[in-house]
Amino acid sequence: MIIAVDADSADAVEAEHLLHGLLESATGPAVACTHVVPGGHLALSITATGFDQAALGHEVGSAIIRAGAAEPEVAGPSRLIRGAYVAAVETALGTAGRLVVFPGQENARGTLTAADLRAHCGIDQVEGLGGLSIEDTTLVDTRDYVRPVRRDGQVVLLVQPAAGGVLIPFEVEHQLKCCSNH
Amino acid sequence: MGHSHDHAGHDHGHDHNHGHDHNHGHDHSHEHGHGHGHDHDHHHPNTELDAATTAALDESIPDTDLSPSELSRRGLLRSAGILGGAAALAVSGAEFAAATTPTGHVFGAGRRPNVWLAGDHHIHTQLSSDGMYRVIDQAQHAAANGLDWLVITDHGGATHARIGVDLVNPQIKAARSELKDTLIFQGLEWNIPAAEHGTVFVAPGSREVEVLKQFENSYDGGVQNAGANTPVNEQLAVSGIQWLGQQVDRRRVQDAMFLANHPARNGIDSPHEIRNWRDADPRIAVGFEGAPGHQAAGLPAAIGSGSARGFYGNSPNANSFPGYPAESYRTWGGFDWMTATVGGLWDSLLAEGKPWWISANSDSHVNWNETSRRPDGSNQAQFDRDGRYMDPVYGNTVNRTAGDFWPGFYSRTHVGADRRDYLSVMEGLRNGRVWVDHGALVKGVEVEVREVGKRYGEPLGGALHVRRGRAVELVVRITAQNVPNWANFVPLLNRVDAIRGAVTGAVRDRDTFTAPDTKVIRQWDTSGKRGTFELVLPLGKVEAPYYVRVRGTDGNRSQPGYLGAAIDPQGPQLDVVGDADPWVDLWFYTNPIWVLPTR
Repeated sequence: MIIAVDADSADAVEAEHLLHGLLESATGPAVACTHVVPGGHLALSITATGFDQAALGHEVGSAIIRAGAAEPEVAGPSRLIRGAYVAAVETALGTAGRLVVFPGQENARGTLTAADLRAHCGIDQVEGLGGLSIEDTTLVDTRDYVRPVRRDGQVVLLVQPAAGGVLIPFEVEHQLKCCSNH
Repeated sequence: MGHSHDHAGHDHGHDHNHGHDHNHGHDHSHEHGHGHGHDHDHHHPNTELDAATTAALDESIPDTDLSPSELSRRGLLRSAGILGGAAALAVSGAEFAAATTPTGHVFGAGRRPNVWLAGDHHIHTQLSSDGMYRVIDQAQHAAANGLDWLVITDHGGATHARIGVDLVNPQIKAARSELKDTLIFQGLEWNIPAAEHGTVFVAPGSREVEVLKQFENSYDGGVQNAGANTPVNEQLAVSGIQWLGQQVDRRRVQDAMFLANHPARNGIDSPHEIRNWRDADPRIAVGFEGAPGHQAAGLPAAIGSGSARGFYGNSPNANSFPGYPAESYRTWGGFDWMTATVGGLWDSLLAEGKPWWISANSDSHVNWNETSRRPDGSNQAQFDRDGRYMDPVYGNTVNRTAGDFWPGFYSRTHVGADRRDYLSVMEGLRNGRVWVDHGALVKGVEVEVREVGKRYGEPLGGALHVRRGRAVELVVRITAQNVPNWANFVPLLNRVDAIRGAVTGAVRDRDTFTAPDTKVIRQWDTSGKRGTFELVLPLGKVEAPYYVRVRGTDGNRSQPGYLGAAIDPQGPQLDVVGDADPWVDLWFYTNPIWVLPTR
């Protein structure tokens, strides 16, 4: 089943914190993603074999897709239902979403070849920024932080050039907060 | 309308009803003696209003009886809440901009500049919560490093709006009298509602602080809590630009200008927002940073911060425009992807046949290898209380992880001006008589497009109006660098590229960010050339409108452009995170010149 939740999370840190709390109510191997909701916030989705719906408070929007269902069951405040619905559908179709928890992630540590990432870490495709060509033997320093994205049903890890001639994931753990006088 | 005639200009405790009724900046200082709204005074005893404005103000004239320019002016006045009917503004920024977009070109008459003035419009001081220097620290380094003009741009925000914008002014005035040959503008770094930061600055005058403060209180995304990516916030940004134009029209300040800063850094300046800013008032919104500051940030960890060049190291966030690719979040040869990509976002703006210029600045907050620091006890709480950090002290330290250079040390924006004065710099910027470089790659660049056989043509930023069928040529006059830069070597200009693109008119989709016809049409090997030399490129007979622009490099790092080798065989290279030495990857870029056929 797919459980999608919109709690109006402002950024990835907030969304992932909420995700990890909700994962305690999921059973079976889980895939958990964040999703961008137009208008400037994030929703999230969890794919699992079971989920205790009591964990969902009344203040979040939710959309649940059960096996064989024609459409998501939605609940919660109307302004948050849309984001949850979008997240559920994106995960159901495999069109979008940023993977936070996924099978194979535990192996994505240290420096690995692109072939290793595909064979053991749940990554379908390693893609280089700016036309960088990626061979099977290309080394990727995961920096123990991997957040691939879903695209056309595939799990894609974007990588970029870094110091020392290695590649690192495009998304780094600590986003630069320079000039953050907001 | 309920105007409070508050000349101090900080009556901002209004109920900010985001939704319909944008009564921003409604505490105008009424130097002109007409009332507003229902008891409209038909005698305009002032002589400072043009006819279009006078007609637009006269609400007894229905919209249908106004000329297009008068109608556009009325739209501006309504959007600022000066006229009634502001409730009609529950439209998106895009709709409003589309309805009030001026038609035709907005080009000044071409004249060769008399003087080139180098400058930097993006500099922070101790009045920024992430800054540390005094104004004089920045200004005297800028002057010593060879800059002629600079803009002090501390971050907008609650503390700055309350007190910082006032506190910095005496420092700026003192620096002006200390450094007689340096033009020092007061500006601020605007948190553009729903978007990134931008430089806003005004011509010096008795009301510079008053206007900036009123602007910041009414339109800053931080002050107004308008950072989220919503149509209402996007409209607030458009209104802010228009409000600045109104202050110029009403002579509160002699001139005002806005340029968007580090536009691609977080993907939150969507293409339609940039177009809406430009169209809100093309006199005010003139361009964006072609290259961001923080150019030392990519120095390797052994000697620097080991971060991303320009501090362009992020990935999309919840407010990012979904159409932007991952590549847009990194610099390319130190330049922003919007500018570095031939046929990319900048070119898509130029291909509309409307001016939009690029600049290059330091964004200096704390400079690489700084030996001073904030004194003990000068912390965030002290800043929030006093509106500024205490003066820096010498600190027995070397700050290797700071990512910035002093103004003029690495990035320069060269403005062709009539004279060495404040208004001429602003006019040169507005006219796009501008080229930018890194690391003093070249000593001088003059570009002209002229009819073959004619002695003079149109300079940078201009538009050559030429009879269809006449032959024209591009002339690039370069003076090679012969003195060392601030890294103490003489840079070598090894290649110059000419770029050409068709003018295809206004885009239907305002989120367009490609210009398919634009490509590199000529590459010159300039290695070994000394002194002043000319590169001439025949452009053929004029059949349809187009523009040309020029770029040059030391040639150390190149790769096929983001849109492919057929468009740009040797463009700037994607910068490497943690290993981008800015001194061995130098580029200059010029603004464009248009060629427009007449019958």
